[in-house]
Amino acid sequence: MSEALAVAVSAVVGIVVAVASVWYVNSAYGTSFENLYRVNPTVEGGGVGADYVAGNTDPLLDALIVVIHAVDVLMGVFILALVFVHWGAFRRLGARMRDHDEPAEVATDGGRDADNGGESA
Amino acid sequence: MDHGKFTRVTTYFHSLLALDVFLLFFTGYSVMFNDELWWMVEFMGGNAGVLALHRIAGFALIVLTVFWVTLMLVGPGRRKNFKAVLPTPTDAKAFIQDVQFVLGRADERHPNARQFAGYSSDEVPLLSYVGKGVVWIFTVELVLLMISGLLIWSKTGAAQLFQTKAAATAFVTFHGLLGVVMVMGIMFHIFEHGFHPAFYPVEMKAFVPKSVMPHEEHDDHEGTGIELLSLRPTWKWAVNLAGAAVVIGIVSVLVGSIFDSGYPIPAGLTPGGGPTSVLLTIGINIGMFVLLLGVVLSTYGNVLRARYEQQVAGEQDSEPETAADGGQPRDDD
Amino acid sequence: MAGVLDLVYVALALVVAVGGVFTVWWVGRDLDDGVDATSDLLRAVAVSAFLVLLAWPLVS
Repeated sequence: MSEALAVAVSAVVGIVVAVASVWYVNSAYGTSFENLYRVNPTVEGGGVGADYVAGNTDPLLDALIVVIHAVDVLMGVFILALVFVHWGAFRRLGARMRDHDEPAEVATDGGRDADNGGESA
Repeated sequence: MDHGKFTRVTTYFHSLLALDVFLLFFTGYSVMFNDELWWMVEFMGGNAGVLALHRIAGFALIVLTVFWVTLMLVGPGRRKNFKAVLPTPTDAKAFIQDVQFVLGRADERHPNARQFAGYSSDEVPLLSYVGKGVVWIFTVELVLLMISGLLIWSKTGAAQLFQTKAAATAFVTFHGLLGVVMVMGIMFHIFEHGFHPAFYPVEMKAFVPKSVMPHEEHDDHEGTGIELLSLRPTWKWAVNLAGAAVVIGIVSVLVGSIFDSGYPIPAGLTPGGGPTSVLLTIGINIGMFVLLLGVVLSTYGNVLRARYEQQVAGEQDSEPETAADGGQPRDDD
Repeated sequence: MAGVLDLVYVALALVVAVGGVFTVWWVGRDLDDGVDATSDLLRAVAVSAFLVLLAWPLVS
């Protein structure tokens, strides 16, 4: 398959899946407001809206939130470590490079001196 | 500019995905961190406007990711990429050597960690260990965020699915907490590719397709040759300022997420979205500023690409190289 | 106010962040990269103070 055809096919698949999934969640789960909260109180003697008194009573959801907090913290600490490793490495690499005043032979913009125009012109 | 990695399609995909994800962050976290980012909600059309924008961007995210997965499966020469993202023991070594390098106990970064390959581009693999991690974490995160996002797309649907309004909002909270890893990861990603001394202010590998990257022969040089490059004078304060902002942004978002677990009422009655402080407000706003910096750098990268392509118009690259997405480097010319 | 687990999380994040900014200062102090070591140390102190003061009202 050629590159252009592959891109076109993938784009069509992407749009079809996105439209279908949004259409599906809206048709399968899109109940009318009128049908909600009539008969499912969660506290004694409760009624419409009584669930707000109780908060979340789903233990699975509580567990999910506990797990995701732990994941956030662990990944956050790991990401912070990566930031510091790169920050330190960049400082070391920067110290190896030429000062601005010295003449440069190679520049990151593909050949021209970074100092005299190049990408920041 | 260093060796090329992205095909033309990948550069466009990366830029579009970035814009879309930034929009999702700005709309989603202005709702979750409403105590700190209330002004963003006002700015983006109030509650209804923000949530409409979030859904539009969410739709675009599904289009973009499904497009990408399909392209990886059917695109010419791309299936080998699935192998290229597998982590290897060498990647663990690269991370350890990076730590040693920072502490002054190694002379060079490991090839699997090197962002600037320079004269050593033959040793450097397609993806650095961080690159692999980024692909993995973002894939898992995006899939979970899309599924949980779709489940709460329809407000009444979510309420019906979770029996009580409190449970439904708890699931919305779960969706928000899920994205915290992603938002912290993106802040790091902005720092990693914006503030490398050889690439500062933006690493052009993500914007210039490898088919038009300049390619020179260089056999005899020891090391990467980074010492030949001239450091931009603004780098030395920019790297430290950005580093501080990224650290404050990550910690603030993380601390905010720990205490905003009660938004609005999953476990008990804690109206108002949990405690806040003036500095947390400033810190989370600094985090959003880091994200905004990402938008600016991404746009700037595309401006530079346009300029560069004008400059080399007519010239052709000669040698095909392997690409990060494994495509045929010359096909998209 | 805050649960024990929340305190542990906040403490962990602060220890890593504060440790990190001081490590960057420590790594950078002998480097010839044009950054003044004293202002670098001040930056580490400022970032640490900011983060501790940010978290304090939430956990106390």
